[in-house]
Amino acid sequence: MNLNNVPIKRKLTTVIMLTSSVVLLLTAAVFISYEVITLRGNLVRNAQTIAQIIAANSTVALSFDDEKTGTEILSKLRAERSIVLASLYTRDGRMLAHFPNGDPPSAFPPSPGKIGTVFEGASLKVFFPVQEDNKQLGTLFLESDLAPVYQRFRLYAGLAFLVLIGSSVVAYFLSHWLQKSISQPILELAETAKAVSINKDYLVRAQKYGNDELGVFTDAFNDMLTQIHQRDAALRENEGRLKEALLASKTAEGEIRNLNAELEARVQSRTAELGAINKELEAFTYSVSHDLRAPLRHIDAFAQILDEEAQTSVPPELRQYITKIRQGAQNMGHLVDDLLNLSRVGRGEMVRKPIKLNAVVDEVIAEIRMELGKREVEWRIAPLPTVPGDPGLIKQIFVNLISNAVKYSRPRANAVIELGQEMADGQLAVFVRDNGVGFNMKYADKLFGVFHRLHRAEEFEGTGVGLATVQRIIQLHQGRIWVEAEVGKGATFHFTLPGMYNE
Amino acid sequence: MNTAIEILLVEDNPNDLELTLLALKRHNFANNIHVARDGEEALDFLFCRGPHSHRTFDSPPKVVLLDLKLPKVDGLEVLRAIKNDPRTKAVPVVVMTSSRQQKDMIEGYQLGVNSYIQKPINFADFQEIIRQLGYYWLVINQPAPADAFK
Repeated sequence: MNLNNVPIKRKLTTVIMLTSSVVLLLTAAVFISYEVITLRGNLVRNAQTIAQIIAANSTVALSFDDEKTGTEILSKLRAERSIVLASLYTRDGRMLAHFPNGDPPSAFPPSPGKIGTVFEGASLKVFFPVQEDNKQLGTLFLESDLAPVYQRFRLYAGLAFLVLIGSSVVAYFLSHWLQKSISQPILELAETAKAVSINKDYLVRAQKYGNDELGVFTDAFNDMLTQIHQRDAALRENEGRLKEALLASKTAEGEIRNLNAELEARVQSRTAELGAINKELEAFTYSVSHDLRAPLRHIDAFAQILDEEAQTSVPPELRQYITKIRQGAQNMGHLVDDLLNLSRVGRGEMVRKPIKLNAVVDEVIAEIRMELGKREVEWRIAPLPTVPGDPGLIKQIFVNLISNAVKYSRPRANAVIELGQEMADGQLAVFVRDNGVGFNMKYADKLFGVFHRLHRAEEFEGTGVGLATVQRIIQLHQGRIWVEAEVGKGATFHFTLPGMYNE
Repeated sequence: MNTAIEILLVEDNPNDLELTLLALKRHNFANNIHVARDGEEALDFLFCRGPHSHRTFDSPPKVVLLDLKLPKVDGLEVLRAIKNDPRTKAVPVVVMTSSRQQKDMIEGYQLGVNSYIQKPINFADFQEIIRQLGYYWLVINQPAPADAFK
C-alpha cells in the first residue's frame, strides 16, 4: 500500500494503529512465551520431584521384584492428578508394575526409554532411574497430561486477542482524537492554500491551533500571505501606474506625431514660400544685374561721348563735371557688381572639392597685376594649404582680400603683401598681411558689416561690400575670420576653413 | 555694291543700339549691319521668312550680336532656335548682355553660344571690346562654307 497518496488523517490513524498493534502483539507474544517456558520448567521440575520420590520408594519393590509393593507405591500417585500414567521397569526392562492399575499394559511403553524428560504431544514423559548405592535397579516412567496446561495457554491467547481488539479500538479512538491536533492545522493550511491559489484571495488566514511547530508554520504561512498581499497590492498599484504611464506616453506619442505632421506641413509650406521668395530674389537680382547696369553704361557712354565732342567747346572746369558723372556711374557699377557677388554667396548649389590655395592666389595676383600699372608690390607668398570648398567662392575670398591689401598699401613706396599659414588655437589658418595704412582696432567689429567703411571715398575707393562678402563665404564654409591692424602699420586678415591640410 | 549682311545686331534698347552702332562705326564695321529690334525680327531674318523671304540660308551673317533681354522672343529662345536648326546652326552667335547671371551663361553655353560678353560700364572698355569682336569675327575668323547651312 502506498501511503503517499492517502489523506493525512488516515495516514496518522494507520501509523498509530499499526504501532500500537505491533507493540501489543509483541508484548503478548513475549508474555505468552515466558509463560510457556516457565510453565514447562515447572512441569518438568514437578514431574522430576515426583519421579525422585516415587523412585526412592520403589528400590525395595525392584530389588525384590515385588509387583505388589510396586503397584502400591505407584497407586499413591492418585493424589497427584496431573500424572495420568506411571510404570516401573526392572533392570532388564520388564514392566514390574503400572498405574492406573486398570489400564491394559499396552497403554504403557513396553520397555523403558532413554533417561530424561520429553514433551510428546499433549503429554510430558519422564524416564527416571531407580538407584540404590549408585547401582541402577530399574527405571520409572511417568506421563503427565498437559491438556489443562494447554487449556490455560489458550485462555491466555484468547485474553491477549481480546486485549488486542480492545486496545485497538481504544487506540483507534485515541489516535482519531490525537491526530486531530496534528492534522487539523495541516488540513486548515491546505484548505487555506487551496483557497488562496484558486481565488487569489490573499486576505484569508489559516487558523492557529497551538504553539508547536505547526503553530509556527501557520504563523509563517499567514505572515507570508500578508507579505504576498502587500506585494500583490504594490504590484497592482504599479501595474495601474504603468498602464497610466503607457496611456500617457501613447497620448504623448500621438501628440508628438500630430505636432510632427503639423511641423512638417509648416516646413513644407515655409519651404514653398522660401522657394517662391528665392525665385523672386533671383528675378530681382537679375533685373538689378541687367536693368541697373544698362542705364549706368548709358550714362558713362554718353558722358564720354559728350566729353570727347565737347573737348573744344566746353571750358575745362565744366568738363570735370563730366568726369564726375562718369566716375559716379562707374562707382555705382562696381557697387552693383559687388552686391551681386554678395547676394550670390550661399545661393545656388555649393560645390566642395579640394582647392590648392597657392594656385588660386597665383591666379588672383596675375589678374590684379594687370590693374597695378606702374605700381611695384613685393609679393611674399609662402606655401599654402589645400582646402575643401567651392572654387568660385574661395577665389572670391582671395580676390577681395588681396585687392584690399593692394588698395590700402597704395601710399607705400615699398608695398609688401604677404600670404602664409600659421597655427591659431590649434587650427591651421591662412593670413593675408599688408604694410598699408591699417586702421584703428576699435572699429574692427564694424569692418565686416555691409556698407561699413573705415576710409573716406576720396582716400580709398570702395563699396563696403567686399569684406562682408568674404565673411559670408567663410561662414558658409563653417570657417572663421578675424583681423589685426594698427594705424599706419598695416593690417593682417586671418581665416580658418575646416578641413584645411598640407599635402 | 556688295550688300551681303555681315553683322546681325539684335538689340531692343535704343541707347544700347546707338552706342553699339557708334562703336562699330568708329572701327569701320558698320557697313553691312542689319538691326533686329526684337527676337521675332531676328528669327524672321535668319530663317528667311516674312519680309526676308527673298533671302537664302546659304548667305547668313558672319556674326550675330545678340542681346538677351528682348521683347516678344527673348535672346536665349533666339539662340535655341538658331542652334537647333541645321540650316542656321553654323551661324556664329555672340551674346552681349548687361547681365552677369550665371544661369544665363550656363544656358547660353549649353545651347552652343560661340561667345558670351558682358557689356562693361566703362564706354572706353566697351569700344575696345567691339573693336576686338569686329576684328575677330569679320577679319580673322574663317566663315563656315555654304554647305554648312543645310
